[in-house]
Amino acid sequence: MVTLVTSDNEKFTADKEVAERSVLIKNMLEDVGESDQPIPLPNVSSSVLKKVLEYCEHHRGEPLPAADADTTQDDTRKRTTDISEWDQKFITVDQEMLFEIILAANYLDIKSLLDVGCKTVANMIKGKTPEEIRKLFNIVNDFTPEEEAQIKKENEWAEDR
Amino acid sequence: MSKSCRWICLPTELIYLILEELDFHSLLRCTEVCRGMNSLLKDSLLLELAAKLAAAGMTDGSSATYTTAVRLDMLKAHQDAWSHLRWSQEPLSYSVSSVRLWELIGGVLGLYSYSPEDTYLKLVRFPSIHRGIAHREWQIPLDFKVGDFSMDPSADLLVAVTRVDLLNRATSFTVHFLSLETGRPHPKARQPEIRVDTKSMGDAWSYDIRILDDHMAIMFSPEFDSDDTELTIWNWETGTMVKVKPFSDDLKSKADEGSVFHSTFRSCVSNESEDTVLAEIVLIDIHDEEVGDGYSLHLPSPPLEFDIYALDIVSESPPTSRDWHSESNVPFATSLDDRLIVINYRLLNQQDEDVNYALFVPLSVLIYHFRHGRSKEEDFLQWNQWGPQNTRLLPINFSDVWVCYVHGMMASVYDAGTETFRLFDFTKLGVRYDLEKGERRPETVYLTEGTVVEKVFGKEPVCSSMPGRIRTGKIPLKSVEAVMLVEDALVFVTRHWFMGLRSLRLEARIFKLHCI
Repeated sequence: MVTLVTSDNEKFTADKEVAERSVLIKNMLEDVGESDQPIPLPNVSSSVLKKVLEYCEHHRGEPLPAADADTTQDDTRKRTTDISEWDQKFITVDQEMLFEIILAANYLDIKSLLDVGCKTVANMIKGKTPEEIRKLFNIVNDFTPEEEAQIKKENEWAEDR
Repeated sequence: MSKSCRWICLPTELIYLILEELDFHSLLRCTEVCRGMNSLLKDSLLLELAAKLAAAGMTDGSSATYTTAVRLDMLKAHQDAWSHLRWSQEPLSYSVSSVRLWELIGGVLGLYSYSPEDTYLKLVRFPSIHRGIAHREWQIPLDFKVGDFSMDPSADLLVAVTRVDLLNRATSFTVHFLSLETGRPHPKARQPEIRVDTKSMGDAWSYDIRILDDHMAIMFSPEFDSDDTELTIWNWETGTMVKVKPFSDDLKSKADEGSVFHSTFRSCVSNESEDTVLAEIVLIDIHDEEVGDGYSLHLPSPPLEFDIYALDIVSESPPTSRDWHSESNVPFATSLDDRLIVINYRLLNQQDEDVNYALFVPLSVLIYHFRHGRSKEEDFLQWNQWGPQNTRLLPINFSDVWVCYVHGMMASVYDAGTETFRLFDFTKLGVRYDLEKGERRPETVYLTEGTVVEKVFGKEPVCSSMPGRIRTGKIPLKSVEAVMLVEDALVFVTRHWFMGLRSLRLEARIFKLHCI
């Protein structure tokens, strides 16, 4: 078992196999060797870690992305197909939690979870108008009318007509 | 993370990960949201790559193998090679004098040779410098005589039809599902062969085989009794028959049929012509029993005084199955969103002169009208209601040699008796990009105005105005008979005379960027 300590000082215990789906935790465990020392996760809150562990528990035993894959370059990530049904249900959370999960997945280095999070946000954007996207993410339109017209003109060639 | 911190406040690299999942049109919408997202996208290569892919009629490929920057460079080089018709210095060349049948699908050339001693299929994977595909050749032995074959390289599938001749009985066929790599029964096909019994005793047959994902259609046509033409559709993995469509008695031998698969609808397109010479495309939903005779889109029809020598529908089989692009390692591949269908009119007028036309139709247009028309009362749509805006009718003389000359939204035509060939390209955004954003390609005519064809298709002139571009190229070889088209190569068919024997050769010119 591994003990993890969140930013709000809550302690979680998890099977080593489950916790090690996080490459960050795996590397930390390798560094400290056999020890019962709790692992501090100062960037993850307890509510988020609870979700993350739920995800890791469900996907326990599944093959991890190859270790020799270039993990530093973001755009060399292997694209996977659609989100599975369980993942979809799992990721149906409010927007703040969704972004927290993405940040945590990135920090903890859990590729498949990061992927599910990013795809979910992308799916929220797909097919929406700029105004709908602004509303969705609370973004203020800071274009001048001239700028807006200019951008629309630049994009004109690709529109359906 | 504070409560006000939302999407745009994610670290840039995470925003990129999200944007990478978006299609081109969604990316465009994002540029219109706010300054932050606009400059983020303008500074990244994502938007540029997406725009160039859309203009090229391509779909994004493997981000596992190539970074965005590398994919963009490869795409630019690929498009540049097509635009300038730059090909590799060393063409591949194959004698096809002993080849009975050939097919060119998904960048793989299949050459079938038959003799009582040696029956085999030779396969050639054309290389592509721009898409990182290696040249490969292999051969699979066959222990039966093939009537016709087709293949889907992405599914490792070879479909071969053999005729079973039984004395005084109607003709039967065996359809084999083999691995394209090994020639052994395909591991995914539950039944490696299927028997098909027909009603006809005819001994000359023509076939049209189409594969799409797990579905496959074969049209069996006895050459002298086309009333007995049958279209059969299977799920080749399970071996179950999905539909049989016998063609109506009105179908006359003058007309040829073609069939085309579309994935979303899994519809079949065919064409029939009657005594009154009504040319039409019939769309059938193969999963819907109710549709009956299908939905018909009328085509320009030649008047009775013309002798219809042939009316063919030509389209490629989809180059690959749907899930192929994400699995393979190519940086980009021809988009499966739309495909070009070419309808060839080969006519003889009363003075016995050839009058040949090609009607170019995007499959998406057919699917659109099929979808919207089926709920209406009439089961047909007149030409003027759908054709003029969405198609292009042009006078074109086709080669007599059988070739695969359509790929994606492009078609290649060798103009018989000239030193040139033409590439017809109806990639919608490609034409617009050249005219409105980029620059015109060399040696290219842009079709922006409507075309009017008079006196051939009845009293009314036929107008058509789908935008397109036509690239004219010089024939790089002597004695060319025809030209075929694939994603990364043009294949020229040349005719040679050897000791009085006529033989054909195939020569593939593969596009390549010249390195300086």
